[in-house]
Amino acid sequence: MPRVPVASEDERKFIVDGIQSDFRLDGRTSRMYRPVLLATDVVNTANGSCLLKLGGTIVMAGVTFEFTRTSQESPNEGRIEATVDGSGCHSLRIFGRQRHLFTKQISRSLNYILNNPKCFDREQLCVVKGHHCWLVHVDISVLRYEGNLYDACSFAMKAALSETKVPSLQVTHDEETSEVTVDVCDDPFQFGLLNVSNLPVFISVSQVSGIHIVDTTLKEDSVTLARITYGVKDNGNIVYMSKDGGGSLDLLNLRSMSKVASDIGPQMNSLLLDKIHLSKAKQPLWGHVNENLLFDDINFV
Amino acid sequence: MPDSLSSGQQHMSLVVPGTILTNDTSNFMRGHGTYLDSTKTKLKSSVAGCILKVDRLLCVEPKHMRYIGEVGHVIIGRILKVDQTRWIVDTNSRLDSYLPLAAVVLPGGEHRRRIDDDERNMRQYLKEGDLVSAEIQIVHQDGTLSLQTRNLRYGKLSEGILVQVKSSLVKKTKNHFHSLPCGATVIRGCNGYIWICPPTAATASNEQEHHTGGYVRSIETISLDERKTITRLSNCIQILNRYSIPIYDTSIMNIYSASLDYEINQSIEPKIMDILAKQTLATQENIGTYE
Amino acid sequence: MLSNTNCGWVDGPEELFDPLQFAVDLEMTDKSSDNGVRDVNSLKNDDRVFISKGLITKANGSSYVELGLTKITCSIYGPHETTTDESYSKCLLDTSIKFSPFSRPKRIDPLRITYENSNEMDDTEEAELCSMLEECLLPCILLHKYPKSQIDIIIDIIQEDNEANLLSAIVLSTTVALIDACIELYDTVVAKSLKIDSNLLTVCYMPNLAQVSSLFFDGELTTNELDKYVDECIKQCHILHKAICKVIIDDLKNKDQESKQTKIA
Repeated sequence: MPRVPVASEDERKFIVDGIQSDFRLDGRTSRMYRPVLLATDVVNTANGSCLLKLGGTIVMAGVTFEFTRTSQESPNEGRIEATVDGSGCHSLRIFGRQRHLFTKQISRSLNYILNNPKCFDREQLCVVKGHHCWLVHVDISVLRYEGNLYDACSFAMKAALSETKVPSLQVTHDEETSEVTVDVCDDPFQFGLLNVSNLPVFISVSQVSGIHIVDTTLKEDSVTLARITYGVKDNGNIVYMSKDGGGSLDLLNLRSMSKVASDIGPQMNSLLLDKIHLSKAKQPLWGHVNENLLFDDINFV
Repeated sequence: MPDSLSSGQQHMSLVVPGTILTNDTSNFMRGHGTYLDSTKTKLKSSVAGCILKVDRLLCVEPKHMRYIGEVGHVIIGRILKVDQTRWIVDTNSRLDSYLPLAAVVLPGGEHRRRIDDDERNMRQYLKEGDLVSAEIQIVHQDGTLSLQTRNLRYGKLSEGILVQVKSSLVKKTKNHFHSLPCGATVIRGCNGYIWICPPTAATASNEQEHHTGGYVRSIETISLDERKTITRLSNCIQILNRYSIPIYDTSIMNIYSASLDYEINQSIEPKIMDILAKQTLATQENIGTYE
Repeated sequence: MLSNTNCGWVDGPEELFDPLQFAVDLEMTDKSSDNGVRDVNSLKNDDRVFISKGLITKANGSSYVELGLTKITCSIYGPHETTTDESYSKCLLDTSIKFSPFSRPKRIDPLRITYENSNEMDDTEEAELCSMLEECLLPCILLHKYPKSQIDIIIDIIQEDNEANLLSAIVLSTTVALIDACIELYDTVVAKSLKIDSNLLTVCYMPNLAQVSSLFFDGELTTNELDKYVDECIKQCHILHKAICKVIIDDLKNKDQESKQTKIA
């Protein structure tokens, strides 16, 4: 939660009154998200990437692959980890010295859902059982922060991973020496795709004076006492839950909040999938040469 | 960001930093955005923008920069800190601005003497996070601004929405307090902070302000209709900002009436924003409202 | 070096409380084992709880907690004036949690440098526990009573038994230490983690206010199942709460008697 005031007492009252009459600062209702715009495959050097705008919040996710040895504990699984970096984002300054903690917490939450076997199958990252696997980095940088970074990051991550091109490999097993050699295919048009159908999205539900709202902006955060971030799969199941905001909740609120999340989660999931498909269709139109890419909304879906 | 849709600036000469403005240094004076090169024979531009010539004074006016205060500007600021005898205010300018206690109309009338109690109670009048409308009284050498709220129009802002826009879009005019016909009051702060509040707060409290100086909080709740108008205006002004359309009361009203075709929460969708911005520009070109 | 007798906690406490002995009026001694959520054996081991306070006398408040085989000390310094200017009206919490090198079967290197941007999962574990603990304590402390000040909470994990017990034990020890430090609290916050199959749910709960101050979940459940789990957690929290109450009341009684005795003397 921000430590520098972003709204005066009277402004906060105005916001709370608005939320209570189900009419928020930008005219949205309590269960409405700001418009999501995304463009996938925007960075040449990454295996998969996504630029996502959720209202004023802009995040960029890049997926890169690294070849490593499997760990002893899980010999037939690859590894995947997410980082969130907000050091380039001026509007995160409202967190003061807490900024690193905040982005860190988001990356931790993302890691939880990535390492949950029910959300992401890490076996698909294994190259040779007990020998080699992929270490996948999902690096998210925050370009602008105007609230609800959790959800934006998870959307961007899912979009980027679903568009990620896994380099195809040639594994040759030498029977005599029992050595395994792995070669990367030269053909850039030969690649695999990751299965991310189970990957959840984060839905942050905030409680403002008894009303549960989603996708809060910065100003709305200043009146939020408690917020729970849910990881919701496309079937509505909850796979992750954590609270922030420094307030407490009773059981009734808790229940209705998880209902809200599991209602909205599948909707956002399918919206995201639609957008990813549209973006895929749009890619050949602009390729990688459009210099206005990051600025022009026309390039987004 | 979409390109500025406003046209008709081709006649102005645009320069980039380092462009030679004149070789005739004796006949021209150096203004903002220019510098004299080391040979002292050439006057060059130090910012990108358009050349402005006032008699012998040569300036380059940049397009979007941080707000530079001028005496007499109406601005809106947010209190950052309460100091001993003054408030430190964020006004979107380079340095923090100050609102001295002596430059504020306190409850009990204009001509009351300041006593020690006032210093102690400063946080009761304005505290961290509060918004004030004020006028720039002094611009100091280093660019710090001293504010004053002696006029009863100025003072603490109560309930409403603050929209932050590029300061270059808000030009100084005669009036910065607009009671719009759609039923809301808009204060265009020259520093790019625009305040939208219900009409009652400004008109009805005119009489109240004589007693309270605007530092007493009204408890009335805002009706849903007023709230809808305020929200629509806020969304509209954000579109104006996004498309770099100068913000006047006329342009606000133009886009407001254009937006009435859509639901309020539609006006945050990029497609609708594009349509609205284009419509507004079209109507403005037809009428030729702004200079 | 301290002799074995000087640091009595090395040998383990003399007294062990079975929390179920306080739970007679809640009628759930048999229930929890009946519905097959947890097996009887692990229940006994996991839920043995020992709470003592005032272990570290230099601190303003301290506690030592054993939950199952997890052993934790907590000391509290403050409230004292804060060095940062980030808070005017409220108190800041500064938590630091440290695993002792021998707290796990695999040694944890105490010299391990914890970079801000390190990607090691273990590095962030302490930081993660810290932020969870802060989140859980914020609603429970009367922060506005301590303006311009901060409370330092220092937690040492001596031995870690299982992941599920850890946060629960940390919260428990902090609560007891906060009470020992006489910091004003709305309620005694207790936490309980449930680990069933691969689902891990932790709920921090304030029994008197009936408010959940923090919660964490990793796994997969439908909302209805989740609600059941939360209910189960809260039941367990009530039991822990009784244990805390007993320890603190007993401690107060002892002190009362001591003071009476000194008066007589």
